[in-house]
Amino acid sequence: MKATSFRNLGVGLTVFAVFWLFVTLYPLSFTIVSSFKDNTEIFSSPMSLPSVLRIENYTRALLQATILRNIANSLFLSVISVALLLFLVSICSYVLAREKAKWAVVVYLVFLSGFLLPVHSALIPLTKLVSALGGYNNYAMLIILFVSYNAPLSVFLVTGYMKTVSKELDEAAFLDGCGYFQTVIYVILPVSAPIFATAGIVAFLFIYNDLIFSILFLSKKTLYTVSIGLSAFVGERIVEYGPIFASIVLSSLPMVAIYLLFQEKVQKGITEGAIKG
Amino acid sequence: MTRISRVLAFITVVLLSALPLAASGSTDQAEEPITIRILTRWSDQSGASTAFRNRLQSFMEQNPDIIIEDLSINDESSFGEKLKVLIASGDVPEIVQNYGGAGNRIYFESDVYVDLRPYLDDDPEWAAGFVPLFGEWEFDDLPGTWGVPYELFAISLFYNRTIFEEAGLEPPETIEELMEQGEVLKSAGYIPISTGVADNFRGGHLFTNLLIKKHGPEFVERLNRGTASFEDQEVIEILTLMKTMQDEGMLGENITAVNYAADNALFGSGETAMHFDGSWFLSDGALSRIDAGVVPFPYFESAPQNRNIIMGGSAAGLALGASEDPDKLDAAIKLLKYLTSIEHFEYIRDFTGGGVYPVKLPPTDNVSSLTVEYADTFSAAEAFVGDIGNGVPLPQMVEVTRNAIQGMFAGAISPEQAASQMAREHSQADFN
Repeated sequence: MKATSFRNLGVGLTVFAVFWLFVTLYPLSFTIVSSFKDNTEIFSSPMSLPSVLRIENYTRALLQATILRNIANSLFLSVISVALLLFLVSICSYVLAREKAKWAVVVYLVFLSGFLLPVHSALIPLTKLVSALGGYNNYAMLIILFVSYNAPLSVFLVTGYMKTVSKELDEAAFLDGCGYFQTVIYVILPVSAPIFATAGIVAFLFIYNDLIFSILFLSKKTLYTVSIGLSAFVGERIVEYGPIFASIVLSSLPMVAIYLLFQEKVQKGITEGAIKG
Repeated sequence: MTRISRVLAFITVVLLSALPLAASGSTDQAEEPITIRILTRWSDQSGASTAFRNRLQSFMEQNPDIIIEDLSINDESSFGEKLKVLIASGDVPEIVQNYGGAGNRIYFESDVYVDLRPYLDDDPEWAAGFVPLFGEWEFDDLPGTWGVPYELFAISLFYNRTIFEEAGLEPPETIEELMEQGEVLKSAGYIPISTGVADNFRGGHLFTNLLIKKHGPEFVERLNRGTASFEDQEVIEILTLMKTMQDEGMLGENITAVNYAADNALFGSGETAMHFDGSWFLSDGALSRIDAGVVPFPYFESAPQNRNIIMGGSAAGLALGASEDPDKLDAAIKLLKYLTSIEHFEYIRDFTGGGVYPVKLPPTDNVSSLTVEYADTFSAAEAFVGDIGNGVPLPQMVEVTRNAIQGMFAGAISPEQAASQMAREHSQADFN
């Protein structure tokens, strides 16, 4: 009886898994197939394979939208911003996790209040600030904005995690002669690696996919990021979907590679975070 | 402090202090050329946009003392977001793509933009080059000319010659012929005139065309002045006709799920026999797949006097952002004249191989036959009328009208209810 139920359950789960696989893969396969079609074929035969492989969609994505340079720009911004963010957050969160004084609580709450600030509500003062500082078309300014905007979530995640790390580890490190920086670098960071991976991936995704800051503060084509590059084929009235899908395929590759490299850490971070609260 | 601690502390201090310095850049621009900014939606890869950017480059080569910073972003919502933020932060670019009309009036009234009338009066040659299409930037009760036209459009009826020849039909001249031919085309397996309204402007354009062909520009003017209502029989009659066209399958299947790009693709794949559209459609790849012709949008047999009333006019124009720096203003005026000169539009026409423009261009053989045919469709125009609602002193009236039509096509409301929705909004306008 039990065996029959299990088999039935197995069939049900298999059917569901196949269905879910189809649901998950369909957008990806549609994107890849459409990247070789033109508008007419995409709309008249959306499910079919391309009648002619329109490689020119990729050529145009590479040459006209300069999507590779856009990808490189986005990767540069994302990597530098995330590295700076995690470096600053590691130091800040360690103090906030260990310090019991009231000022630390206040500082922590100030960081958390960043959650309450929708990005669009800050655009006008940010624009005035960037304009006053001459920060248009300046990656350093964008990096500061990205770090600042992602700091609240990262501080929240990392501080919460560090509070669960035993203080005996710190004390052992101090007894062995470590200073604060050494304790953070050699003791706290290794045991907090999963949460740093999670915070890093979340911030990386935000920065890599950012559109609004890039639109407002970048106007030089050589500095364009992926999100702006993807709109290169959206005309005032006519949208060329084939080159857009080709650009999407190309710009997705780095994210897929990064996720494959770090997925174990991310999953571990999420599950450990769930257990440790 | 250990060595590593010192190093880390040093890096932290350097990074935190260097970033703001790097971000601030050099502000000593006193001896530098004048920099002016332009914000348009012409940053995509189409021929017209590429030609536009080429002209910006040419201007800078001819005027080394002026640098143009091109802030353009083609995506509509991104453009709108960027413009709104720049206006709100008091940092409006020196030249801005602008559609005029009631929706922009608040900006004209608050001097976000510069009144161009004195500059047009000072340069009669420049002013005389334009086709008289300033209506979107001029108001009876607000002195001034707040923009100049950059795009000219007219809605015409493109048709697939092959389908019409096979069916033994001539392209329709009247709405009555269009409806009769619809039956023939449907029985031959074609969509007569695909009108996907997932992009709501398609329904709005159909409404405008039918209303002006039936009731003329006078009725539209009465709506604009508040002496006619959207609940009048004239409006309900047209909405009912549109609903009938949908119910009879004239406009295609499931039209609320079909967007503009899909509409174009259906025409390019030979699935629909007719397609109403503006000058921008001339550069659509769909036309290269079929043997297409173009005729004026049909008129009603009962209203032949409106045969040459055309939906069209100026689409986008250019406005001048207010600047306190007189040097920047002078440079912006110089660029504005350059971008709206006859020479400029000749270059765009030659680069794209066609198109119609808001200036009096000398004739040329260097355009496609379809462009010539298209220009003929409105050569006898007696009046151009824009979107219904655009002349009503209520910024959202066009959008409300289009949404009500979309709702009607979706089956959510009847033609009468759609008219009521429009009328409710219309009654909020201040017509004094």
